[in-house]
Amino acid sequence: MTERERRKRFDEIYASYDRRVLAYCIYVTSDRDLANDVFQEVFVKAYQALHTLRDNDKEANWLFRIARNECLNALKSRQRSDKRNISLDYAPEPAAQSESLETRDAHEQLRKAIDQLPQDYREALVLAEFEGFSLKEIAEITGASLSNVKVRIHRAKQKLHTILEPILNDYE
Amino acid sequence: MNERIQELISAYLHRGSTPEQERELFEACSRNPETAELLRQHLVLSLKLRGLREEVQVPADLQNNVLRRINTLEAEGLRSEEMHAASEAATEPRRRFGFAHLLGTGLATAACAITIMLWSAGPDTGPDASLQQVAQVQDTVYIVEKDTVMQLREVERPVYIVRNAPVAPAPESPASNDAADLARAADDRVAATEPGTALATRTQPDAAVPPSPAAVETEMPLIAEMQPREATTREAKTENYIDQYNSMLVSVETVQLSAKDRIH
Repeated sequence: MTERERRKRFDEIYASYDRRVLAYCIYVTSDRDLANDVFQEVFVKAYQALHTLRDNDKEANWLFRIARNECLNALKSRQRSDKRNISLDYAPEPAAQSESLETRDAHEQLRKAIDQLPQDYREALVLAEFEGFSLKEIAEITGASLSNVKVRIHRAKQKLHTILEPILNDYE
Repeated sequence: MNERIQELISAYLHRGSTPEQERELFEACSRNPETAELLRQHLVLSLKLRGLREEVQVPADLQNNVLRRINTLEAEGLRSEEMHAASEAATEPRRRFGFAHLLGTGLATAACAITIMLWSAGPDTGPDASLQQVAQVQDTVYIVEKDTVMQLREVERPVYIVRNAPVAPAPESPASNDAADLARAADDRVAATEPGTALATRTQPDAAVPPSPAAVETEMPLIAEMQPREATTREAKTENYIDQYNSMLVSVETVQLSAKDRIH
């Protein structure tokens, strides 16, 4: 693969997954600044490791596996430096500015609820509910067994249901 | 709630269940209302979560940072490719003749050695080579006039050439002159101990006269040996010699040969 071909392939992947990867990083790290740093590293690593992408049908798995590893590395680094900052009060994006107050409040509560989940539960839930990966794909991305992934998702939902019960009742 | 039901619910909600697992889940829901209620809650929760999923926009500065780093990597990669291509181009001639420096010396040496051996052992270089070569073209005759080779002619039949000798204006016929020439030529041949080395010039081919039978027998042994066995009588030999000489004269008008011109 020449450098031109690599760049062309990268641009295609970036255009397809930039938002999804950033959302994943935000949900998993629960830190917008950290997610931004991780986001950069994810795509730099992806560019450097693009020659390892053999099956184009699994490029999403491949990219989110990189994102997951980078998120975990960032979280470990943050824990080591004891500079944990779970602040979620980042400035709203232009798309979010158009949202109603109720929706923004619901999103805020959802982010806080997800942040309360254990990291492995949060990760499996985000990949399953937000990114639409199948259980098998999640198992490939996270390296966990299929059975374990099912249990993680189920328990994450149970916790979320408890936390978000008032919001959910409004929808029911 | 056991883990089996949890797995079945998760698998059912996330495209991971088989028909058998779905049947097992529905049977569990029909047997236990709590299981059915749990399935309903998770189904609603999944729908709500997907509805509340935040649409994240990548900030422009973040995107610029990413693309700037990618551009840097791309530029480095392009430089690396150019250097690689340049190094390949520089090493290509060596690669093209990569075996020449290994085999060239040996092959050239062997080729030279073989050439030298063949040349030194060839038929042109040995001391007897000229004689061997001449022996193969015994029927070649140089026709020389005043030290100038006028013709090179190959004859199939033996040729007897007489030396041009001053002929006295005797009342003899031209044929008798030729006979005298033949005799003198025979003398020269004997003196030279080599057959056919006499100088000869003939301007009157029609006046050929056979040499004396004695001279022919003693001075032209090679020609005599080459005659048919039938011509054993003196007269027959003489006639044969006359025929040969006349046939030679028909094709050779002026002949002047020396010992060095003779090639056999």
